[in-house]
Amino acid sequence: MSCSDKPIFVIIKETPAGYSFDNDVVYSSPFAKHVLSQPADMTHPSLVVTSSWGLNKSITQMATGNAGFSILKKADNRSNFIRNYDNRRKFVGLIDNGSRGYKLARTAPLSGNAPSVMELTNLLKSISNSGKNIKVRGSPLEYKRLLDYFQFLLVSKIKASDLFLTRPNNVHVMDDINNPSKDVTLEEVYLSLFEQESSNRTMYNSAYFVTMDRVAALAAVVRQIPTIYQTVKPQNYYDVPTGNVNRITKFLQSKLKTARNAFEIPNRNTPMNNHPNRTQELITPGGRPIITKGPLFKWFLDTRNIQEKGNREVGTSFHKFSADKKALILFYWVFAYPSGTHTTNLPFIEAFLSILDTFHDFTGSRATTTFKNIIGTENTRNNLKRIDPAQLNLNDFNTKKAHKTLVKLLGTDIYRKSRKAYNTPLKTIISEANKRRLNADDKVGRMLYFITSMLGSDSGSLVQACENLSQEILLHLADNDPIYERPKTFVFGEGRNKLCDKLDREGACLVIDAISGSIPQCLAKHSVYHNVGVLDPATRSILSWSEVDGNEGCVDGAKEKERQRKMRLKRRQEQKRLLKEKAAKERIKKAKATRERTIREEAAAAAASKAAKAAAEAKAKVGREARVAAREAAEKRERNNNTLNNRPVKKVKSTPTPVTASRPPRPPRSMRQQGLNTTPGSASARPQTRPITESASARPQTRAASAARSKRNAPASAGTRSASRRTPSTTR
Amino acid sequence: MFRRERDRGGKTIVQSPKTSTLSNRRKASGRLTFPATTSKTPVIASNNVINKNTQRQQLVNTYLTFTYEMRDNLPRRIFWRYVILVLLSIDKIAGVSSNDEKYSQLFEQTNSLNGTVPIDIQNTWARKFEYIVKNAKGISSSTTKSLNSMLKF
Repeated sequence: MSCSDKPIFVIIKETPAGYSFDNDVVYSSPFAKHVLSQPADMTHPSLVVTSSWGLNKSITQMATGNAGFSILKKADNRSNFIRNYDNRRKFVGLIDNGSRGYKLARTAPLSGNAPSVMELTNLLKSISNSGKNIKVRGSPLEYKRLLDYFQFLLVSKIKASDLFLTRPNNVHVMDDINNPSKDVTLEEVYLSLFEQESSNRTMYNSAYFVTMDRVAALAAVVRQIPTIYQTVKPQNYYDVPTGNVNRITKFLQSKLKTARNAFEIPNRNTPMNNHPNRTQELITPGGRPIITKGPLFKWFLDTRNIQEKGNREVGTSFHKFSADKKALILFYWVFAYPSGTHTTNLPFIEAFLSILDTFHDFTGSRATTTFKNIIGTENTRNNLKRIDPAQLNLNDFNTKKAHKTLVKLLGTDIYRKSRKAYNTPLKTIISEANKRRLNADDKVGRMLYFITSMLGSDSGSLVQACENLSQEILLHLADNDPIYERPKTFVFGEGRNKLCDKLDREGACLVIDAISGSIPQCLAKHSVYHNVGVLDPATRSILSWSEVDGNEGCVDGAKEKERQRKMRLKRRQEQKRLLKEKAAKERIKKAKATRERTIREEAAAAAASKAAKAAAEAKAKVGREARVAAREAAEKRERNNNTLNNRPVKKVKSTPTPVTASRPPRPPRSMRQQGLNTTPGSASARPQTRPITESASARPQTRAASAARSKRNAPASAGTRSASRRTPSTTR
Repeated sequence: MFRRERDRGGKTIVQSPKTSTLSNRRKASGRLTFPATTSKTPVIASNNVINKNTQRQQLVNTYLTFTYEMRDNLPRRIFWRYVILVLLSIDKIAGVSSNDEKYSQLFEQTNSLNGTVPIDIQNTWARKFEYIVKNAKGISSSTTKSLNSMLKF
């Protein structure tokens, strides 16, 4: 997520009068009743949870996002304020709110989220290590559960009531309104709002919960919440039919019967050897009854080690089974638990899955690296294995001692709650299956602690096995037929699939809790991510993350920075590519122009050469004719019989001026005098052409005049010499 | 020359001659309808393609888009265009068309607006619209009367 991102969805409720934006979601957990609300005066995703634990001093409110920031800002200098933070910009705080209990608040840049597992673990550690007398009733663990389940509660709420999920904007209207051109009319903008295909005004009142969290998916399915479960490898999506507790129980039975070293589920009443009023309901491969039904306990799970009791042998050594077997037995025991006079055993299943999911969250490395004692030691785990469910006593938790292990932290919650009343359905189910002389709350507390101690008696493999079994159940319910299979190689614009078609057909959206990998393209437009942006007040402007209080100078995370860096790099490469392309185009253009100019010049040179040749030929012809004429004139004079003048005439050898090819000879003077000495183009092409001094022989008129002059003034050779002297300067 | 008349349920409707992609798309749906006057004011087809419920949801969507865009220094042109669009949407739900011409003219006039709108004025309008959205099922011909008197920029 980037600092400039804005949240994308809001909840709207249809009322008898119109539509409202302040809507609450209620969650009744085994320990408390929580109401999640969206505060209307907040300018950003803020989650405020108000809790009713039935306890005197408990966490009564939790706030996230902008609401969390406001609370923490006010509380900063107060006593009895416990704060944990990774750095100065991100922290979780627990604030004493006097007689109204405690407030748990969380703030962090770019987030409207509730505290993470690690943050809550840090807080637990701080409470545990604090020298202050802070008696917190109501574990922060419960809030983690609450927020995990918020997504499917939202789906449930949307499905069952008048709530809608919708986008807080219509990008087409925004484009039309912001369009700087003046040709978009009001009518066009208004009518575009009704175009089904291009308008994103859909108000979804149907939704699917999407998760890869196996336990959360199973919890959603048994609560009859439409669920899409995603497997991690391969990344396939399964549409899991809801509310199939009976089908799940049958599946577990078949697994128990067909497993290697199969268990036995007797078809008819099989009394126990020493107790004719108790029947065996599940028998181990070793022939020991592990689940029994009797007048005192209607669905008793015997986890005791095999031991002598009086003159008989009791127990099944449950803890010596493999983790997979233990998970199978446990699930069968839970799903087949009698509902008594209540309509369904669902509250019991929900309580079990809630505790299981807490173990999933708080026994992983996220928690154990921070809060090293949370899973306890080998010794404490062995002690938990020895717990006899029939002999449990929760009074151990009636102490001021700060507990550090998960089992004891949960145990404290369970004990405190048992003093003040659990919810009625859970009490009805458990107290009808347990006929001991205890009050109903005590029975519920003991049962919940029994489940907790079983899951805590193992360093993690049992929880892992339970998660694997949850996946098996989910895939079985979905008939192992994925509704969407991720292509094995990346396909750009991978197109439509059955899941997209289903969402389009039903007008439904996806509420995504957690998925592996990116969301398929056609699903993205239907999606809501986690709780960010869902609880968004629509009554105020929605600011980008960087504009939210406490996020001033918003700093993007490492991933975002990396993404932006890559974007910049890509932009630069693109710019370089464009520049290169432009330069190449210019080069090509220039080369083309050069080629064309060369061709033009060559053509001009050829034409000039041709003209020069023609002129030279013409000149040669004129010269020849002149010489012929001169010869003829000389011969005439030689044949003159005038003796006085009959002297041999010294013949003047004319020296023809060499003419270069590049310089056409001048046309005859007569032509030049008439202004015809230029051929078209030649004058401009050769502006500096120097006048060619012609030889005497080439100038018959001049020669005649010269002859006359020579006769009068000078020897004829004088002019010839003069001409010959000039010759070198005119030849090249 | 560019307009063609159609008869739909006894009502003569002239369809838009526009060539923009927006109107072309709408032509295909047969819902872009204008009265047979020189005005370009839209009229929802009498076959009631768009029902009241859809119109109300559209109002919610437009209101949300308006609040989404609210910010410091929101240009006057954009702000008043949203206001006019929301008012038109409310009148359409009430079946009032007497203001259509005025809205169209004002919408065109917004093109010449400069400057920005203070956040408190934006909030004032947002609160009034929120109240109307909360009572969307009670929208009547008088709903926009008081708002129209505030429509000055």
